[in-house]
Amino acid sequence: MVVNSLNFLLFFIVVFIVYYLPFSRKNPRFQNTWLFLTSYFFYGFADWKMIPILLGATAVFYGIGWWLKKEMNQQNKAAASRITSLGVVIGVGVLLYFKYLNFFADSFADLLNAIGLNVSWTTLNIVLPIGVSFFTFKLISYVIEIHREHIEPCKNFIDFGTYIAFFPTILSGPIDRPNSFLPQLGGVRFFNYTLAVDGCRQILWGMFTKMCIADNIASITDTVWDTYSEQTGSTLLVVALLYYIQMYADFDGYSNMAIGVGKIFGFNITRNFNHPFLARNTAEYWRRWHMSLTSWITDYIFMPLNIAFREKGKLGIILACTINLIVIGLWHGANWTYGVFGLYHGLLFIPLVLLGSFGKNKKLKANSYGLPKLGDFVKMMGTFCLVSLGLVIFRASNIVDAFKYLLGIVSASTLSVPIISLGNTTLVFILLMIVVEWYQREKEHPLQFSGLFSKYRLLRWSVMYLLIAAIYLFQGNQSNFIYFNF
Amino acid sequence: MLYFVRKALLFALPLIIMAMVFECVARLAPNEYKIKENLLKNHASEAELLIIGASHALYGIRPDMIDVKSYNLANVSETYDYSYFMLLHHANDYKKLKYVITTVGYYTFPYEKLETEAPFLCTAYRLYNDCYYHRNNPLYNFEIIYPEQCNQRIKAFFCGFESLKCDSLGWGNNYQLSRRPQNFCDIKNTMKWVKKHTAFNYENERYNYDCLCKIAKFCKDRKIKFILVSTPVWHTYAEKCNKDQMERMEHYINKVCKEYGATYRDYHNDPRFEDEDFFDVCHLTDNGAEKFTKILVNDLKLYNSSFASS
Repeated sequence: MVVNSLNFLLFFIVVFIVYYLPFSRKNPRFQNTWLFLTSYFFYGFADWKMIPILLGATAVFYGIGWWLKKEMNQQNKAAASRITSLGVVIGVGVLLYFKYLNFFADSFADLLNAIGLNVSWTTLNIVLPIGVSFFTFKLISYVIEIHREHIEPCKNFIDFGTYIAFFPTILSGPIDRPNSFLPQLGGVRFFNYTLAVDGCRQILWGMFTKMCIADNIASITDTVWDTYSEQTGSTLLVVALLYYIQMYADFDGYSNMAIGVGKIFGFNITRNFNHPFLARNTAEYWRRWHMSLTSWITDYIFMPLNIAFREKGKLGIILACTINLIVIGLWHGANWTYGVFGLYHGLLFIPLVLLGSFGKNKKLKANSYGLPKLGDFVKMMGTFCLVSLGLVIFRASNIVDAFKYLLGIVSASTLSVPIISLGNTTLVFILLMIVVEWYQREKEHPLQFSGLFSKYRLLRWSVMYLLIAAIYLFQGNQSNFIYFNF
Repeated sequence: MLYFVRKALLFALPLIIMAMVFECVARLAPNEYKIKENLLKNHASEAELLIIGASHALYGIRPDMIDVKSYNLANVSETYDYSYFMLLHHANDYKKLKYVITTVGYYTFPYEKLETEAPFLCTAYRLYNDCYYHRNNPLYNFEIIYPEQCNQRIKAFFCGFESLKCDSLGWGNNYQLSRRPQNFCDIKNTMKWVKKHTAFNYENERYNYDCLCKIAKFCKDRKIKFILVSTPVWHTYAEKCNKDQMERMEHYINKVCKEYGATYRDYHNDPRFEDEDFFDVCHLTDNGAEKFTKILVNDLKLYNSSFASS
């Protein structure tokens, strides 16, 4: 049940009506119980056979949370550390088993075969539970935050289950931290008109970027990727750039829809993107892209590594960054291309660390015409190109294909006219998205109106009607959200 | 919350009105399904030969080249369950019907159900041919649910009959040689079509076969000659077809012919058809359709007051 489908609309209407029944104000537990049940229904709609895995993992971690708290209350630090480690191992173990077991086994068998030890391995028929990469990270962070004494264990299993399985975010994030989400489950959520309207606008923008931009570009990038060996260098280059736009429009579109739905139900969900096209270097890119994942990895992997390597100075930072990014890469899936993708970005961090600019967070300022300053613009273009090239590795089905694609870009035909049938309307939408992203860079999403638009309803509604018309008339062939694959 | 709901309804009101306008305009536009429905309404009693099936029949068989009173009821991507409906829903009006021709090809039996492959076409049958399938399913009762199809209908409303892709007897007349794409028969295009028509599984075979049997039984019960025809295809396409799928097709055809006395004519690899007869690797141009229909008429002896021989 994808968020931009009729099925989801019907589901949403039912959930919404029951959620805000007058009855719920008198019974605080009702809303959470209703969300818990509907979230599991939503998850089961995708694949009911995975419900026991989600429920089982949730129950185990609920128990671990209380066990950990009990040991901490008894000042038993060693036991508390062991329990936390157990929680992390179980969470990572679930991820490793479902996502990576066959991959590592096959890779190990290939390695042994390569050195002459003939090994045959029967690949297990392991079905990947949808959203496993997202909910296991939520479970792990729950245990770690209890250990760090940032939160108390959840008193109510239903509340905890709702946090883990919350339907707008279970399939593709954002990865909410328990510190920010669990307190919101504490009391009754009364209908908040401002938040709900903002949520609706955010959903609309998400649908526009997903259906009018990402889906239209997808048909081109898929076709070119299927036949990349026959394409000119210029075509490959343009498609690489388009793929970055497609990824962003798709994933940001989904995130906006998920966050928007959350807002309608009274929740503030972690932001996932902060206009990554405006990044001036790769460090800034990772601070703006898939923020819920990068902040999770930063807090639980990078920081401990940084502390462990602190005596190595800049080399230690480089090592920590590289490992961090390789983990981010591998999180996406069981393929060496993701590891190489992470390594590529790790290498891009080296000059930033050496120059001392990797941690700097300079605010973006416009020139007197309201446009980016020339220096910033050049940096943005450079970062855009570097990220696009990295995404070639990410997109490829194996490393050989990735390198062949990249070599194909660097050929005599790079200077020829690219052969791409990108419609004029899609091009207009892409330019519109980029322009709007720039002018609304201080906002959470572009439809947070200000100035004349906030003053006149006619203007606001005209913009929204135009977006709806664009979605209806120019939507591409509906494709699954890219991050459903992870 | 009531204020939110009121505002939302107010916001949605112009959209609902526009949707209703689009729906009305789309339904008023001329289209091929309406033409075929009118053919049946007005001429079912005098029809002697009906052509049903998918695009191979639509573009490949010209009723104007056949001596007996003929009408082409075929539609693009039509599956046998809808062909059966098209044949059946004016069954009481047939007074002179002697022949029913349908095409059968490489892709026919494994073909996905229309609801999966092209649900907007199910809507067309529902709205313009009064098809009783999915009568109460809103997904098949509104044009606006399918934006691309709705856009086409609205364009057709303004373009009128010039936008139609079939003649007054129902034959698909827009596959003209002058409009044929370049490199239509190169290996890339051929493989694209072969890939499109080659089944990943045979889940739908039984269902499609059963629907074909219903058509055959209908004809047998009314003593109507049922003729199965495989239209010509480009030789490279024929060579690349999956042999197993071809054998399965032949097996089902033989079964139908044996059980229901149907006639089968196979022009799949007919050498008489050349470059200019093909619009793409598996559809004929207007010239090709003329040639093919003449060959078919001759082979089946579809002359006035004659029966075809097996």
